[in-house]
Amino acid sequence: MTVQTIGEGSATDGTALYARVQQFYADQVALLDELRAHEFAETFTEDGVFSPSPSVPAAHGRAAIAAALLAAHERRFRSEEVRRRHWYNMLRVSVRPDGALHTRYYTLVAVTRPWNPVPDIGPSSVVEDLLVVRDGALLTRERRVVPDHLSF
Amino acid sequence: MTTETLERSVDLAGQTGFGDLYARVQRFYAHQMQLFDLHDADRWAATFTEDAVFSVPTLDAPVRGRAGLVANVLRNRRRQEESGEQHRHWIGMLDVHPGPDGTLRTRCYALVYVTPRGGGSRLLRVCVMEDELAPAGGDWQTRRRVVTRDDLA
Repeated sequence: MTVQTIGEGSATDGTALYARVQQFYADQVALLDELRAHEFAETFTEDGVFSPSPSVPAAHGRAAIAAALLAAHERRFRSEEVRRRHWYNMLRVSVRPDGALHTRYYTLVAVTRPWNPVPDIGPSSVVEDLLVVRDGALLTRERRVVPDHLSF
Repeated sequence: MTTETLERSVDLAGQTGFGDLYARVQRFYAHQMQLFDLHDADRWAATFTEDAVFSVPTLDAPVRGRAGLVANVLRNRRRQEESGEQHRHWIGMLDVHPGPDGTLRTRCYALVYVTPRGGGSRLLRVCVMEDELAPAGGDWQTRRRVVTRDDLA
């Protein structure tokens, strides 16, 4: 069974897999929020695709993903000091026949500025990922983010 | 589940398989809430038992049965199409208590975020949701749901 290919026990109902995917996202989101762009890009496959919004072109490959992340941050915040926390929830995971995982989940971003205890809650979005296993580890092959305000 | 995985999943509290059960319930709600927010009325209603009872403070009387649940989702869809808003239901702090015959009682918090077309997202409501789940072919169906809203409680 596909679950075994990522090596976490032999759960027949995929719950070990579900916990594993949650753990993958927790690791990945820390890199994203600390703006460790190159390490974040390494959680994608070499040929990974990242589409942060339908309104901008997708980034193809790790170098482009890292560059797009840094450019987007600078465009939005310039040199302003902010802490961002991406929050994922309501995760659905399905295993495709080829063993890749299709996930769909909700995200929000809390943006906090120095000395202001009230965060801005960023755009509510729906994300769909394609995750694959390489050398026993999960990697994102494709990410498509659709912010709710652009989803109509 | 095999004996081997059961042994592995014995947690520190000694509750064999609880982690597995908890993850399955999380998946159940992720699926159910996404169908709700997609206004996929028939598939959403199928995650409830035929005779389900659904109480929310915004309705005068509890909804009984799947046809009523479907009608409710279609009404939500019309309203949101008119208002140009997208709702997302976020479940957290999920408390799961196994009951007799494979039933579960759950309690969780639910946040509703709303995003207008072209606008910013905001937190619309804070709710508490209590469910009775009945086993159904390896998964569950909601048999009874009581939602309270903090602003109306």
